Amino acid sequence: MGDRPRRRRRPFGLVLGGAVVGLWGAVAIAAPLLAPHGPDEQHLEAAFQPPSSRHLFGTDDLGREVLVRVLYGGRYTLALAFSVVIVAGVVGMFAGALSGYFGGWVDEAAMRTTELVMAFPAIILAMAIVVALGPGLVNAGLAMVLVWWPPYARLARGEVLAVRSLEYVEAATAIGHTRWGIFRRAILPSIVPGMVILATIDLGAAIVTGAGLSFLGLGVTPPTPEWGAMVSAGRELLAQWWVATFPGLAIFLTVIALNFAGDGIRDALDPRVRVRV
Amino acid sequence: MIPMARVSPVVVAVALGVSLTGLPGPSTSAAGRTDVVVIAKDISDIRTPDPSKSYDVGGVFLQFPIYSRLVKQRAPDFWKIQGDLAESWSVSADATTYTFKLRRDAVFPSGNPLTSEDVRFSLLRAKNIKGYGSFLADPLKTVEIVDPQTVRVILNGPDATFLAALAAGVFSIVDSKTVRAQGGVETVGAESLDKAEQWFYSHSAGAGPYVLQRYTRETEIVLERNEKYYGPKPFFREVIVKHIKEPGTQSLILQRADVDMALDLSVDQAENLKGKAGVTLFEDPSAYTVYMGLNTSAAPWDNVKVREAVKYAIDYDAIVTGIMRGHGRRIGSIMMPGMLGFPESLNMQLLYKHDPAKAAALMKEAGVSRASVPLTWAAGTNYGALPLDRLAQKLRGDLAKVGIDLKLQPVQQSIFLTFYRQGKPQTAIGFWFPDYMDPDNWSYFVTGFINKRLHWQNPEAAKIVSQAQKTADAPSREKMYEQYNRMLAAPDSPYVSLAQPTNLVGARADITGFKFHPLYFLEMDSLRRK
Amino acid sequence: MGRYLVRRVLVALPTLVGITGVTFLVSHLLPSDLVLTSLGDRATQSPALVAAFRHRWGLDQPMMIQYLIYFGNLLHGDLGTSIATNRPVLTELALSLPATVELATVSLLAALGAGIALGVLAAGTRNAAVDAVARGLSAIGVAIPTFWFGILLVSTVYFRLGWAPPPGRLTVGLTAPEPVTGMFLVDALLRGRPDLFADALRHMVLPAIVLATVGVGFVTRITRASMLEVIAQDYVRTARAKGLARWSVVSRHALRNALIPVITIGGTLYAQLMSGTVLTETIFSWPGMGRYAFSSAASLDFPAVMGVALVVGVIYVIVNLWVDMLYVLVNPRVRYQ
Repeated sequence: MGDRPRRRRRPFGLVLGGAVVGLWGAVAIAAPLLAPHGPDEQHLEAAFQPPSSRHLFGTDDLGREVLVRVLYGGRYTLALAFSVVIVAGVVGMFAGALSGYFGGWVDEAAMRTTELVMAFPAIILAMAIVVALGPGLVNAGLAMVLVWWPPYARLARGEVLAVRSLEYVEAATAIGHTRWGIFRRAILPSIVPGMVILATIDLGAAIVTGAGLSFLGLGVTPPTPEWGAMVSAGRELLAQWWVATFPGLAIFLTVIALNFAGDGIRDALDPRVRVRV
Repeated sequence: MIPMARVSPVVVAVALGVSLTGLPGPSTSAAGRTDVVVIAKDISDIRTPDPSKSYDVGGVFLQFPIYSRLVKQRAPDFWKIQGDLAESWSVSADATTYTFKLRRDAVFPSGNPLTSEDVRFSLLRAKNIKGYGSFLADPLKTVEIVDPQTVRVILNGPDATFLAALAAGVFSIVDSKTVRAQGGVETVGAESLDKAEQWFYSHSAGAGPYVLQRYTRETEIVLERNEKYYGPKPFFREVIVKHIKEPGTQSLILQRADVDMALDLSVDQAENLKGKAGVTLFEDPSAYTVYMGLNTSAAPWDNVKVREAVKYAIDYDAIVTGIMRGHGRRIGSIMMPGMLGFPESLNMQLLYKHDPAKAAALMKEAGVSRASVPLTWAAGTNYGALPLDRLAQKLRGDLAKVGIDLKLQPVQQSIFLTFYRQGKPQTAIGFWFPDYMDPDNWSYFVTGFINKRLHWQNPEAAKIVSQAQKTADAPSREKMYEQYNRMLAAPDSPYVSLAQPTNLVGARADITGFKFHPLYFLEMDSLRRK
Repeated sequence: MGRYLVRRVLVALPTLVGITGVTFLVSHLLPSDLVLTSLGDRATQSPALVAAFRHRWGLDQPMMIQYLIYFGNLLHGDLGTSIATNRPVLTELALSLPATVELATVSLLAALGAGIALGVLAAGTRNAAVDAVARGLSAIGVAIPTFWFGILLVSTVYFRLGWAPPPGRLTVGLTAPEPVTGMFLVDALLRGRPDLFADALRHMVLPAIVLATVGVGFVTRITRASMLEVIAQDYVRTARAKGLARWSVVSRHALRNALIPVITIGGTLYAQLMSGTVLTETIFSWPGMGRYAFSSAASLDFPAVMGVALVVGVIYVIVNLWVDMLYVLVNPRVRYQ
């Protein structure tokens, strides 16, 4: 056991995961072309039809095709998750990097702030935003971004602290490069890979959280076919299992695919990266 | 100091062993609990167990089997006022003084008999404690004791509706001696002096058929039969209300017989349970009347013809058959059909036909070809058998056909009420649920209350309802309210009356004696098990 | 050690104060009027009632004064009175917190137990299939949306199969053990009631499975990765070379060090479980703090909201402290000044 060489994993996960995600993305964008009709078309007389050859995924309470809504749903779910992670990641990265680089009381204040945000119950903040600004995808995204950035900030800070004392940075300072210049050209690029890794792992959580918000009624508004909202609508309809099951499956498969892709990216970007917690 | 038993290792071992071997737990099947009835209901809206403060729907549900009031209104004659603690009464000609003769056999669980002091204490406490329901006591001037069995209620001015108001939960009659001993106060200033509220969490002081064992917020209510009750002895010795928020879960639990009744079924659950063995579905008219409110200060609702057009554009029957699946009916005005001043015949007359062609023509007349306006409602809510989310989407579909784009903007329930009360939504799905069963309780649609939110005035209608409130003569009142309803249904009114959903209750097949009142819900003392 | 503890607590205090401040600001800056929300429709028509309400809740004072009053009370241990129920917030929290703590703890233990076992198995085995299955289970666990999974379990395991009790903490008709901590498992043992213990535990099975699923996924991954790293290290090879049995090496030498990152993730998990359970609590009718936080926020009950935020913050600080303490225990080479 002890002598087993470290396996070099083939990029199987990355390929498969990436492929699935890519497929979903393509489907989401191309949904209007793929779907026989819009996600909003109601046919009350055909409500609650179980899956059949006519309605592949069945129909929901207003007679809308579940298949069509699942196809369209990918747009909102993926768009929300990606934007939240990108925005939170960028904001967190800059906040953490600057904090770690300049140190001093800025650093202390920033770290206290991240602690505060992480300790704050997110559900209260989400509710507050909905109360203040109204429901909707954008506001849900805003609520998520506000609590999503701390892990990125802390990671960025940690990496910057490690890099800051490296020789080439000290050398650059000695030569006379400005602190900003060093920051831009030496520090930032070295921490980006870590950010990307965290982001890809994080995407799955973002998807599930966004869906969870819609499930609670704090996310999208009807008739938007977001997957979480669809599961929520279906939770009262346990006899009509297809209304909740297919969107749930969609979330599940997407997250797994993203996780595989994320693992693959992690392996590709830095095969010797230690386990980060 | 709480004596703490040392945790015996044997106890732990036994406990783990029992759990792991999966021994069946205490029996929950019907056979094991013939004299106990378990009811699933969402009780999260109960704010307080103190009867003099209760006002919300859940609070009234809690009070109803525990406390009695001077008068009652029972199924199936919802409007008929019968005596409860009052054997008989007389009303002065000017409708300002009500004199009640109390029954002699009413006794509180403490052993104290009912006297007029209890009535005086309870009514004044309701007014002075400034709780959520205290405004119902605004007309009350004072309560006088004539003798231990006779009490006189004097109002500030003529009010023909107060007798019906006395059936409301806030006017529950409590045992004044017991409540006083717990720090209860009925004088002016009670809102800060009264200390009795906490006591009501595990005790009750009412003369009703049941006594409160305990109330745990958002968990359960446990009632025990009151052996001293003056009415017919209830069948069930114990009533347990288990808090389950989701109608779907209530339905599952009912089907597995882990509860005997489920009170909050949605239309989907009801449809699902139809015909299932072992389960009966009970259906009764609810007190919800649902309407769409058009804010006349915002385009396009400022245009009278557009308001009229909308009334023809809606496919009402699809709402009844498609969305409510037949569990409800159309209403032509916002009162409950069958009430004084709103007979069935009038209801039928006031209904608008679904006529898209006429609606389109009216839009043309109005000079509006396209309009876009947001629709707000309380997200995810069901009013009885009517799911609002679906209703909203249906309305959007219908109005789109005449060129009006309803942008759907649902909000959290608590926020919706605030927005609506502030007059912010431009279109809203509203409902009315009365405080007590008198037509005057629906007058707020013109008295500057609801209509203020929609920026609409009808001074003539306001005059009529104000007059009707003071008139004691039933036939004259009837004529006035009929006129009022016609005005509410007129083309220019901002109210589009939609539907009155039914209330859906599921029960195990061995439960009988189900009596339901739209305001006060279940009459637990009449429930029986076969 | 003691000085370190004290320092950490002192450092955490501004964070906690900050939490109260932020929550206060957030709840008071909202555009909805508390009066309109809390009182009924007709009640708001009566100016006397409105004035009484505003005075009762201190709404007629400027915001800064309101906050100072709140803070002053806080220092005396008074978290204020809940607007929804008119009872002290502390009472409400004392009712809902134990339910969440109990469920979170059981879920954490399940997640750690299953996750570590799976992770060790996956790392230690030579069988690639076993490794793949373990990693597959972990991936599934991480990916499943908890609310969907919860609904699935209720409708299949409870409803169709009847293997689990209905949602709730105890079987209907049973009285909870007399409260000592408010946690039914603990109280049942303390009061010598193994039947109540069994009943409460049975009711925890499904919600704990739902909550533990994501945790199992993460713990398995981290354990496995960490174990693999440690196993490849020199000192382990030395132990093997000396002739120690494989599993002995794994359990005594490798596991201890491999557990360090697991402890951290366990801490994060625990804190999350304490504060983020609203979905599971809703589905399983669990009267815990997640649900309380949600309904308080929805009804704009700001004393309750602030109380919850504060409690969650305190829990967060405590859990972080524990994690750091555990580090010291597990890895004697780690020391704090």
